[in-house]
Amino acid sequence: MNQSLLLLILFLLAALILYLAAKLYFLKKEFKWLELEQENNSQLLNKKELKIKELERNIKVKLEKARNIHQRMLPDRLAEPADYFISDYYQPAEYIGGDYYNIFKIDHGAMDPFFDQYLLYFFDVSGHGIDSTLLSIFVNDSIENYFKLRHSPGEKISTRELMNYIDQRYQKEDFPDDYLVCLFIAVLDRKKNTLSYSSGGFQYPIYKLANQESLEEINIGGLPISTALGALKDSRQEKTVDFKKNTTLFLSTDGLLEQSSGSEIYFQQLQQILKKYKFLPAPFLKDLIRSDFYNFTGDNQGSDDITFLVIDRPQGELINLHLSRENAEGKKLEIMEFINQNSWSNHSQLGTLKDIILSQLENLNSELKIKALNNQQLLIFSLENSEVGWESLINNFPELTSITEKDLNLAHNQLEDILFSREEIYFSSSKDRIYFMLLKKENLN
Amino acid sequence: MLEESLELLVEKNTAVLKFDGEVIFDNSNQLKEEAKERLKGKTEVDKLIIDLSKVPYLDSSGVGVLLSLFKFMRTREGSLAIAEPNAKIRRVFDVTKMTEIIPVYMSLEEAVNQN
Repeated sequence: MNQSLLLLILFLLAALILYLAAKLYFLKKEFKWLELEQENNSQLLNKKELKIKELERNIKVKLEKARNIHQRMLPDRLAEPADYFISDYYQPAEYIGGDYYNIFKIDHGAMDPFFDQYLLYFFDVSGHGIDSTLLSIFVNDSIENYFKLRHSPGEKISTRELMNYIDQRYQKEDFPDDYLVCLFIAVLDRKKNTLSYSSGGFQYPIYKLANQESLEEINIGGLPISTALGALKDSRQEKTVDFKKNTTLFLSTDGLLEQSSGSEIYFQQLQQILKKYKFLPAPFLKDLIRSDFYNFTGDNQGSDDITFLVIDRPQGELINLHLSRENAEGKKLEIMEFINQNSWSNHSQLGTLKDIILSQLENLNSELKIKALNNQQLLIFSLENSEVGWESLINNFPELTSITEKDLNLAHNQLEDILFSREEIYFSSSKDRIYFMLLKKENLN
Repeated sequence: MLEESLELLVEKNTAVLKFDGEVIFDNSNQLKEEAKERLKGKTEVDKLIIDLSKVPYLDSSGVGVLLSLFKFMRTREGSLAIAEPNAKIRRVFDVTKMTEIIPVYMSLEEAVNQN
């Protein structure tokens, strides 16, 4: 009995071992198969990942190309009327945006002495892709075409008509109905000292700063250009604002103004800056706003283009000189006379400013344009030369101060006013221009 | 994800299209296409109300979506209205004079009754 039971147990144990061995064999086989499948999947996954990366790279390269095209389309320099200072700032969105701006002198041919006019425009097209670059090209092309085909020299320019022309052309192209163009077009008339404009689509105003007056908001809204709306012939009227001496205009697309930081929108902060520092000439006000804006945003780059223009018609005595190697000696005397008018003020930095200007006049190898302004508050020199950079000049005069350095003050205490001292020479530089400013009084703000 | 940010309710000839979240460049094209796709099947709809009560922000591409839907309804000989935009979006409509072509109502109820 015991032997039979033992045999049965042995048999059962042998069967169990066989079963487990078989199970182990199949599990191992299944595991190997799974391993193989995993390897295949992983290879497939790697292939897909590589493909995605390649597509991403491809898109990035294409966007980069479109961004370069967009940047190249922007004007190298803006036309600046003799008694104005104009400064611009443009920072594209992460990839590309659709902002564009330009200022050029309107060609009136033989009638030029009677019509001293400049066309000023800026626009923002919806989206931030290659499409928006194509739309920008279209709008620019339309403006160019208008002056080639529709406008005769000496003829009055209506910004309303120009706007309608662009709108009608846009409708004919049948752009997708979810695209839209926000556009501001103005004629700056130096004979009348006015700015006549038509606009559509912008959410935020432009600002006018006049000496004794408070900050004036000018609404540039209205319906945008869109195929969903069709051509709007009578919707965008022409309006006119005075551009007397001592007036500054601040123009911007929505990107700067609607930038938020927490619950704050830059729109509100900008108004305070404009009120406080309206005494600053255009290039310096531009530098200050740029610094203030980046202090406001911190590391947040924002998703839209940042574009703004500062146009300033200052009060005071102005000279505009065009210097070449041939006439440099004669003009030098004129410039020195202009600077020496200020010697009565006993300004501590006048000597250094004189040295800076003289250093540019000596060994003059290319043409140099000089614009200088002298009024009760400040003395400004602007040097323009497209062939030499300004880096060595800035390095040679380490005592020069850039307003962009003032952002340190702002960062530490945003509530504190930036104080401008008459003990300093401020400078602002762009690709081909450099500006120097001396204040005659302390703390003009 | 996209379906969650867009809801279409239809009653007789009136449709309420509710967006949930920002309507910006990143999602505007998809939202526009999805909305049109859903409306295509509802041929009886000739009154569309876009409910913006859950939209905190619209950029210019978002405005483009509304204009595109405005044209879509016009082609259908229907109408478009906007309901419950926040103050910021309401300001965009006022400044850009879009209120002259698209009626804006402060509540969905008002939009349904008026439309």
